[in-house]
Amino acid sequence: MDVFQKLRILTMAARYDVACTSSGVTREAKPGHLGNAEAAGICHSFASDGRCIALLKVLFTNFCIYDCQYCVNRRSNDVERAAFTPEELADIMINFYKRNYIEGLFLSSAIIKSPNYTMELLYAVLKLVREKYKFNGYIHVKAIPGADPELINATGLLADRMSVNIELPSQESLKLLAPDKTKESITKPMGLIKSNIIKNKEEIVLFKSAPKYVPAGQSTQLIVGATKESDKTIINLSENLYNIYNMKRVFYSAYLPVSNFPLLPQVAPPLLREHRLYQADWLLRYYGFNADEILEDGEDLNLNMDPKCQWALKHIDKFPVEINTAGYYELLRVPGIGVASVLKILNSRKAHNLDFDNLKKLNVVLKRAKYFITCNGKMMGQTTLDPETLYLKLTENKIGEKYEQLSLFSLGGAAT
Amino acid sequence: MTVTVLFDGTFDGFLTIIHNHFYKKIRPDYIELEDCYQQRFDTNYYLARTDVDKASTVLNAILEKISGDMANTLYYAFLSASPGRFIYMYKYVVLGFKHGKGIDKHLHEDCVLNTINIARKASRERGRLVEFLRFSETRTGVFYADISPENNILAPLADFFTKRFMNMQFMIHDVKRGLVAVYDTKECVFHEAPDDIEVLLSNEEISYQKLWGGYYETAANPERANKKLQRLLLPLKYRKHMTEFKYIDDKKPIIKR
Repeated sequence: MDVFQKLRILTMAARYDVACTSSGVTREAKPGHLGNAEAAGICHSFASDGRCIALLKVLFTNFCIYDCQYCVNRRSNDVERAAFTPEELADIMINFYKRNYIEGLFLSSAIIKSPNYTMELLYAVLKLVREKYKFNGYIHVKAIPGADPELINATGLLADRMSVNIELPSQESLKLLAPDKTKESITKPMGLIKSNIIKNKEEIVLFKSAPKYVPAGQSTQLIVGATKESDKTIINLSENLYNIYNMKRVFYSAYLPVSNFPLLPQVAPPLLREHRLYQADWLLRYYGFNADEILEDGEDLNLNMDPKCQWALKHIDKFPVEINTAGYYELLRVPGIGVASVLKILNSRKAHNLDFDNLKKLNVVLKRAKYFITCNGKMMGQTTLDPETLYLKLTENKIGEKYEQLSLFSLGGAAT
Repeated sequence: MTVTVLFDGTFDGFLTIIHNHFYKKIRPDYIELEDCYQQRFDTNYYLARTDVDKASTVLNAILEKISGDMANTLYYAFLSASPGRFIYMYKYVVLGFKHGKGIDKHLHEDCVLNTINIARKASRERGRLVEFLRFSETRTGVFYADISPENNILAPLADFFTKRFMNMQFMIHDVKRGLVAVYDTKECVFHEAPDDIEVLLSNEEISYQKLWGGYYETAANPERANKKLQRLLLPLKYRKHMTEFKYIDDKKPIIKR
């Protein structure tokens, strides 16, 4: 099998992993080494599904000993199988990097032979790339659940980010669909990575030259829509992951039907739901919300409107917010106003009193915000703070979708 | 009568205009390039003769009395292709000397907001090209990339790559302006592009391009296809220089002229 085929098979096997960020760490270039890393992250291309390609995202191999039903690489699935050698993979990756195709490597793998054996292979690739090719850019690697802590530790010293996928949002779902995995087997390496990061930070204080362990932190991913968990369960889980395991990111992946297993849904992937979950995730990380504010127990996010609007309509007594006096977090809770806009408002209002025209010039989007703010005590136009009216206004376009625009031709068809 | 100042289009020339504002009391309503301007009958013309000493006085004053951020903003606004930028930049600097460090808070002033927006546009295009620029290896081992940006951002762009690929010889060719940045692992020089640049690709180059093109196509999930989003994030104008789109276009090895 040539390297073209291998790359095709192992890319196809890896494309269900959604994380592809190259952010979180700045590393200056060093003489004699290749590359550097930028904390803001750089996306090098965008695939035809609109997702960014920042890293060479491949599996080392898709031979797997496990039989997880939601996974395309499960043992019982009839797909082409392949495995790279560390040399082949390193060569492709370095040459891609030199041509500015990618920002680094995202290496994951199916479990071949045993967790330890797999982890050793991943370690070998990283060692080759870092030591032989002197690669100084970004590497994201998967920690294999069940692998020896020593191995995970050694690999972490070569990587920028490490992740363990939680895959399914609850223990029951795991039991149902991934009989070979348990919650503990996933949370154990997460806890290990976390404690290693903390230990490493203390070491660096003492010894400046101590090697850095996973400087860009750890992330995880879970599949949405394969099992029955409510959005609240998922958001709660994410909040815990952020608080307890210091996750940098939790990624959500709308389940794409890859199996005929009777317990799995055979419907189109819930892309809008995934989008709303990301919005809620942002509220957790940047907007000072907590999970209980966003949703009640057992509740799902409203697909017609973003979670912040939902929150605002439930707490209409907190509005309107006065643009010229409100604090940072108050402004952040206004639907349609994000971190960048808030910073511009705070900065600009020190020099000048703001009205709606100023806001427009600052490129603050007023489409949703106009119902919830005042400038110098005045609201924009005739508006009301009645949640029901506002709900209709905020969801106008979406609710209208069941009616379609008539075209001349469809009308002709209907008449006959 | 209004006042129009003409200058040679260099950054030093622009800073000389600021110097003249304070020391010669020449306060322009219009700023235009001396070799390309519209004749008006209601205006007095002045020529600002570029003076490097005056320019460095002004630049130092900006750094000392206002901020490094402003110098950066001016740099990118200057590189921008926006036609009316000089007069906004001029008013922005003059106002900057009045307000000092806090000048960027005065976003309600048109000159401040416009200069910042113009600068941001240019800097964003540089950011996009940092992402979308593609090198190809030539037979001599020099990596070659062609671009055609709207703004003249070759210099800050090359700066990024000299830091990233310290040990790699490369050349970035701005096809639109006929400029090249050449880096020989020690220093990066800029000059006008010769007419007959011929790029002969190395033997491995073609197989890496194929590998990348294949990777690019398989990395997308067909179930999630979303071309509209793709076009938003990766506008069509960048694609003509990108390896993966050339691969998709003709599915055969790419030979650059």
